[in-house]
Amino acid sequence: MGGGGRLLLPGVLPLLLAPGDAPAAEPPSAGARLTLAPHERQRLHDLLVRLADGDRAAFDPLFAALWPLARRFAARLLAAPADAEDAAQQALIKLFARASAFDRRRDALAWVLGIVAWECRTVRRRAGRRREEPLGDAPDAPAVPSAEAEIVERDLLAAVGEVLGTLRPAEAEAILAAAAGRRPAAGAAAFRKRLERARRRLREAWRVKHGTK
Amino acid sequence: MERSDLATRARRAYELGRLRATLPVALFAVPPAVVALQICGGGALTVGLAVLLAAALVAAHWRGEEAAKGAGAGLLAGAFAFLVPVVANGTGLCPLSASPLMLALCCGGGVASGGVLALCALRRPTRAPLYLLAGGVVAVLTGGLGCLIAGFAGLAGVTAGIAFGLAPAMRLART
Repeated sequence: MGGGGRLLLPGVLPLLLAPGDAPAAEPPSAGARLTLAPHERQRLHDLLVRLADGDRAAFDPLFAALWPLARRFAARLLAAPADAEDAAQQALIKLFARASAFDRRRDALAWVLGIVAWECRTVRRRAGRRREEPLGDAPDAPAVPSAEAEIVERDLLAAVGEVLGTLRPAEAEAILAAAAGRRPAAGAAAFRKRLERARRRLREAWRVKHGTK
Repeated sequence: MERSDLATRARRAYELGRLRATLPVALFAVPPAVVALQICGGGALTVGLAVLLAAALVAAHWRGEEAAKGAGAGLLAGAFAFLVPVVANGTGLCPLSASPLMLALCCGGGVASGGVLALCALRRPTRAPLYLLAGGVVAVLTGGLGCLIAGFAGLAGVTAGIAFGLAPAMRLART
């Protein structure tokens, strides 16, 4: 897992590993975070539920909230800006096509990121088939061990985003909170337990989906 | 793609996705249609009414939650108006005809259906006219499938009955 210093969903990848295996990840930089404040997250969920119920007035604010999020996430998963833009657009269209089927018990952010991650993977595969995937790094990218390591990391992150979408909202919430370095001031022990449970389920979901630990 | 173009495509995708997701509710029109066809024969009117019922169910679910719930209540309420003439005919009480008794049963079933729908509407926290409109249309079409036994008169009877039963709730919804 080269390029650990460029973890895109900081902290999520180490959470997949057993406690003893976790590498020492660098503290997440503010720019690398893809988490939302609780009220923004709740607003996103509410808008998605309203749209699923057929409230068309929720479309514009939801689109305004999702577009930058999808772009940011896709830009972190794909090196080529054009591919990222394409993936974000396709993901957004698919997301709205499925919005009516959104299950309100699910976490909206995890659901959204899962769809974007899936679309990024599709775009990458398509690009790979066309042999158009750039192997080199972006000119302004910081030093990374190798292009191969970066591709492996991106693949892993896309898969993590996808698996995260299969977890229960509270579990995805705990994982994302831990990934963003947020720990509740009160109830730290309960949070640790919930996080441990969420990690277990994440590892299990990963194993079921990808057949590896 | 420009942001506005993307928004337009996303909105179209949403509407199409929503329509696709609601199509299965059209199947709810099949059982009453099959029963009505068994009893009334293969009349084009029965088939037409069943198609209208399927379209109304899909449209209500596509429109939104309020209309969808109204359509669900309308289907249940309309089942009453549907069953009254069907059972009366099946038991031999009213043979297949536009007899005055059958017409009265259609009207009475319609009033009861309208009343049930009105009660459902009044128990809701909001009095949305859309709920009553979707429910009323679906109830008329469902009940109408059964009342076709009595011909056009039966259809008119059940429509009048449901409108009569719904009238108080409609008046309250407007205020």
